[in-house]
Amino acid sequence: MTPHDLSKFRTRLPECDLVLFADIGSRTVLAASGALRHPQEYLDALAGVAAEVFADGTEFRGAASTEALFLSPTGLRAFFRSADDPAEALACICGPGVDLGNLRAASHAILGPRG
Amino acid sequence: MSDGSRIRSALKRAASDGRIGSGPASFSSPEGGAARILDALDAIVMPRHMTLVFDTGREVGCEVAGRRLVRFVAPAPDGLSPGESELFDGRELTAEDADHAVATLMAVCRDCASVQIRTGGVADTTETGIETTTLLSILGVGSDEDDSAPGDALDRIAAALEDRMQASLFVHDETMDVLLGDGDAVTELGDWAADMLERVLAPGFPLASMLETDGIAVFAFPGTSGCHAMIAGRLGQYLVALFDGADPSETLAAWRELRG
Repeated sequence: MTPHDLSKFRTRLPECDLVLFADIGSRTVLAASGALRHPQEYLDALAGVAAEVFADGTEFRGAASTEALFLSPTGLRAFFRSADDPAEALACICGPGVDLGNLRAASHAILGPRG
Repeated sequence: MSDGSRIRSALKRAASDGRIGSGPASFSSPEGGAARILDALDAIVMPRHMTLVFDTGREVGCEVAGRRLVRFVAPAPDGLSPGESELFDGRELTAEDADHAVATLMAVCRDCASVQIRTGGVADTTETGIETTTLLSILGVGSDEDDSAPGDALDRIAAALEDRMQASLFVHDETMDVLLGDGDAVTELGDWAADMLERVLAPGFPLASMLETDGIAVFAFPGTSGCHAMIAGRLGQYLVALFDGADPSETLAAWRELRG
């Protein structure tokens, strides 16, 4: 996945201010696209959150979570885990009015099919 | 109270947290104003300060701790009689002051139509002050039965959520109350919630504030279990629920509507 792919992802979702693709095993940001240029520390922190919400021990009935969505009146922080490679995840920062259906569909499309 | 009523009550309390910080609460009498303040105070678990900003410009500071009114902060606002200003002398309130404290709250609401309640600081573990339940009892109202205008809508959405719930828990003060469900579903949800709350409420977790104020977190679990779990938070009290289906869109959409 390239920054160009992530830019196209944001184009489809005007309320998405930042999207990054990370290796949550190593907590490494692999690519990012944002409306603003964010400090690397900020991107690293977001990748760290993705790693935390999908870490070992967060499973339910033996199933690993593939989506973690934090919604507040001021915005949405969304994390999607790749079905193909559980070590890869997408993190998005969106406005509060983002279309959830579009966001989920776009995330699943860019991360690959899931069961 | 039935399971359904408890869920609706918990949801309503969880969803209405925004009114503490984001909008004024209207009232039509000093008693109504005091009830709104006490209802808000009953939601304040973690903050140490509560500031009441009235539509007339009157401002009143209070020290609070764990749903208790600890003291009124001097100076007393203008327009109060000497007796009504007495509790602004800075001393810590005790159970003997309960009647006087309620009268003081009604006095500060006099001639006002709305109040915005702001909170700040983090409470220590002090056990001092007067419990909200005592103050509400003196005022003659319950903490959860306030018939605020959004209530009908909140109840309607909560009922919609309830239909798809497999299990739900109300978490507060390291205690979990089962609202809905039994057996393995509740046990599994409780275990998961305890682990997840510890992660997402850790001091260094960047999104902890979203849950400690008025956010909602949803985690999807596809595959054979096909479910999603929700944690909705408000200042130390959390509603945890397990829903059918791995798609959390409806739950999030309901929550958006619930919050208005």
